[in-house]
Amino acid sequence: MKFLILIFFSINADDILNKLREDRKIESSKFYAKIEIVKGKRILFKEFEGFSKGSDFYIVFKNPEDKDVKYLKIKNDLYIYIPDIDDVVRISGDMLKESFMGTDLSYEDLMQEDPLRYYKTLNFKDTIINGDSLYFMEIVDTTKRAPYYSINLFIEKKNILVKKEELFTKNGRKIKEIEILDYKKIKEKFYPVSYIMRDLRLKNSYTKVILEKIEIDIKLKDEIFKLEHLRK
Amino acid sequence: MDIIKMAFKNLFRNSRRSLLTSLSLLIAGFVVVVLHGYVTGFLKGVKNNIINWMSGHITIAKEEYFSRKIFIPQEEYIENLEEIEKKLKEFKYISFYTERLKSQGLIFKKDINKPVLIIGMDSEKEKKILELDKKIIKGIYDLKEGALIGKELSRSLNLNVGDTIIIIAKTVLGGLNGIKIKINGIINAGFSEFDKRLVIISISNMKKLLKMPEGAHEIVVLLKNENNINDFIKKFKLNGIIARDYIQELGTFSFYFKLATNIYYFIYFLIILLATFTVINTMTVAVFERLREIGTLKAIGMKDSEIFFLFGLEGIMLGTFGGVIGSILGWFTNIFLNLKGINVENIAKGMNIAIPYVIKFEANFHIVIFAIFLIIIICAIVSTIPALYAKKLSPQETLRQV
Repeated sequence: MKFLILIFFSINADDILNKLREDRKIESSKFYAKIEIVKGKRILFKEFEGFSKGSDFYIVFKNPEDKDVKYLKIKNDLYIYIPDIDDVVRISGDMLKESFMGTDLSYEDLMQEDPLRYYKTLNFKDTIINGDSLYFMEIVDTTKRAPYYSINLFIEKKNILVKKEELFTKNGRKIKEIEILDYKKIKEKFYPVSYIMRDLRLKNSYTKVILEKIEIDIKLKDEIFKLEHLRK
Repeated sequence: MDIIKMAFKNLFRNSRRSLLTSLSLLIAGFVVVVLHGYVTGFLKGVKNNIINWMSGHITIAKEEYFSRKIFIPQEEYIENLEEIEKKLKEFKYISFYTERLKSQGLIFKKDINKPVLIIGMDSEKEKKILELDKKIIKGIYDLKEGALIGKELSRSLNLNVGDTIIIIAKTVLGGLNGIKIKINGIINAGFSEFDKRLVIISISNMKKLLKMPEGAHEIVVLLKNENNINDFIKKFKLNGIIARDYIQELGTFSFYFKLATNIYYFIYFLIILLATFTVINTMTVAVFERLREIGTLKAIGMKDSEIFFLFGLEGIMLGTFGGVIGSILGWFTNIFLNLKGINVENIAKGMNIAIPYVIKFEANFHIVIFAIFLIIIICAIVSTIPALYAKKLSPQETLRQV
């Protein structure tokens, strides 16, 4: 309903940004994902099952190489269970800037909770890419708290869905790119279920994520998001 | 011959002034030799740390590994070590080689963690290249079941021999893995960068941590003679695997390395030049004091060239006397400081390059020869100014002035 109002009445950048933020809010979810990581000539495949509740999440890897490696985010802390040592460690500091399981995603990217709240629109216009009429939005971090200084968003007009994100540093260097390949409509909301992320600092590198199964706003036990659960 | 004797005797006519002039050249010679000993000792210390801890004379690794070496890409490892070993046997001038596995990671003590550089080493081979066993300051040299850590790292995390730590690192398959390991020894790497973040474990434990089947990230090669480095690099060719020398490991520091050496030679020249101004001063005063004598000598038949030679020689003798003693004193000082070394640990701690904690001065005799030679040349040049003046004086003019 909200987006119909946006279409029929005059639309502005703030409305779009608010809608994007609103769409990313999920009460809880359960998902099963496959990742394809390409680093030059090397291709790695990983699979994981995950649960999220508010800003917390719990992930268990299922592929043989990383079997039973578990991640648990509780508030601002990220814990990892490593089966080889049967122990849990908390990731912090510089390690958060490291790649998450070899992907083009950093731990910091994973930890972000409603990252668009840090940004204000600097530039908003219509654009056409590959024959598709899109909104182009350049948003800039005004709080100095976001991991990326500015983001270029390419937004599909009909459903107000991000098709592509370009992430920049303060000196204008584009360091990451996210291209959303597919959305799935669940309970009147669209969720990205397939996307490609590229860390442009690495040569011939990309990560493709496919959410094979996803359930939104379901009931999940609180125990899943407790530290003790990691060792089970 | 008589002129040489005469010049020598003239030095003692005002022995205090001659002594003071020689003293300035003595100090100049001393400073040049000691400064050179310090600079070459410092640069040699940095070079040795890089060769021993980082690269050997030559490092062999995958091309892709070198291109992203700053990030230590653990997935880019040499899989077929046998092929490399076979190739290395072709080079007769190789003194020694060993494989190393490297990774960045985190070390945990309870909830506190620190980023570390983890190196998987062959303990027996590293005894020869690094003399690693001699760097243990606490505990024992045993990598089989335990780890060695840098002394600053142990201090910052309050870790001791016998404590169990968790080390986590990215696996070669892009995942994350960890090992629990006991600290067997604490080492003094000899420079800050490694003492703050170095963890050494055995190759087998490293393979377990990185989930790496067989292979190594780097093969570190030592040659019998450094002159063969270029020949080795030219001849070593394997598909996707290349050899790089320690100069490339030094990066921009190698540029400063060369620049510093040349700049210091210019500084040595300036120091000696400044000191020789005292020779000009002394000899000019000597000419004016001895005007009557110059006139008399010329009147009884001494040639202009002999007068020029006499005063020139006096200047050279003054400088050479001080220069030789100063340079030799400097050389003995360098020998002493080479044995004893100067501890710069507090300064080096704040630096991120491989500056050794103890700088051992280099006692090369060639710098003594160089300093003496430079002093003689510069003294000869500057002495021509008063000597030329003395040469040009006419007997009548000089006798009239007295």
